[in-house]
Amino acid sequence: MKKYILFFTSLIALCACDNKDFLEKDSFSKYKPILISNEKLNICNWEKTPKDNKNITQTIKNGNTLLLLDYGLGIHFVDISNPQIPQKIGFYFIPACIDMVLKESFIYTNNMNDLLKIDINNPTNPSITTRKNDAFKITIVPPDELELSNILKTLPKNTTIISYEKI
Amino acid sequence: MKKFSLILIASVISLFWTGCKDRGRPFPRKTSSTFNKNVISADSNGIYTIKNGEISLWPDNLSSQTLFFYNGNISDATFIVQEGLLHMRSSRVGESFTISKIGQKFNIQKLNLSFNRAHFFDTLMCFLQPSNFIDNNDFQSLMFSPKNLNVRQYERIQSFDAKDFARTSDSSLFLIKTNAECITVLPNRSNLTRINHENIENLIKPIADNIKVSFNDNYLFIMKENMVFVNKVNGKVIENQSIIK
Repeated sequence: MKKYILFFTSLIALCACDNKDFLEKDSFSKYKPILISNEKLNICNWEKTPKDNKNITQTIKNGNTLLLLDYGLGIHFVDISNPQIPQKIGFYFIPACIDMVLKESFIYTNNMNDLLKIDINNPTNPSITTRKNDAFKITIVPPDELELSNILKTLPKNTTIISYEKI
Repeated sequence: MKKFSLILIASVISLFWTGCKDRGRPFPRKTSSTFNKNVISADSNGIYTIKNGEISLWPDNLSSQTLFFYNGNISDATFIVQEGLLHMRSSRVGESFTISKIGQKFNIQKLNLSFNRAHFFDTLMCFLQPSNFIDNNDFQSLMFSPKNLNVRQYERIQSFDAKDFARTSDSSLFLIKTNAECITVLPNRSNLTRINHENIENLIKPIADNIKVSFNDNYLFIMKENMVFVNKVNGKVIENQSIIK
């Protein structure tokens, strides 16, 4: 009889264990934010040194130039005149850019909340021709669309999330 | 024996209670915004941007900003404008999806559609023609008459689990299924054709999750995180070309 009591008491004790922590852990994003200081948020740079892709979410083909939107980081320019050997031309670093459209050799994109018009007639030297401030109210979300854990939600002072990378 | 029975009953109740608790386990916490969000669109009228449910129209030189559409009830929406037709949906579960035709005096007609599936959240949009809308969850096709925006036809083609669409210049459609099928759909949706099935299967089977596709100038681009697969499409044959990393 004592054995039964011990067995069932142990069973009850085990059932009472709270597994909340394990479950919570799985419910947060598997990505961590890429941050930039607020002073640099609106600084966009054309870099002739090609960069590796991080997370390509959009492509636009303009003649022999392929534009690859790297989520939150900028736009890669790739020469695909020989599609079997694509050559990266350069990278336009545009913090927090998440969307772009092409119209008549101009790219319209966002730099966080600003609307940019970029002249790509010369794909080796693209340039911003117009900037309109506060055209958007952008929230940069993780690719898995899950919330960040509380630790990652706390950002250092004067910083903004521009993109995400895998933890 | 009586004590034993009591303990047994207590154990059963405890197990039942634990089971109930587990049913209430936290689901993954979705953010209120979507990852694949359209914030810019363009057609012959100009450039469209969205901010707080307001869609603005800009001329190509961005010299002025005109309010094109406002729906204060839809926050954080994603949208596409194509030659006078605005297709818009909220990124939040349960909020309405709106299709509008814009007249000279912002004569907006709104059509709220309720879909059977709750997870409209994950729906992707694509046009076959300006008056067509595709919902990828069940690959339902909705057609709208451009004149009065009444639903003209509601048709469910087939149950797919598509990850993304790509529209071709002749308005046929590439559809990538998660188990690595690439399918074309003709505009009249009378025919579904698998294109070069073996090639595409070999190409994307290892990367089938979280892929995006686009079609431009006879090229099919398949995006998977840091990789972009460049494929020349020759008729119904996809010629594997290269990978950009």
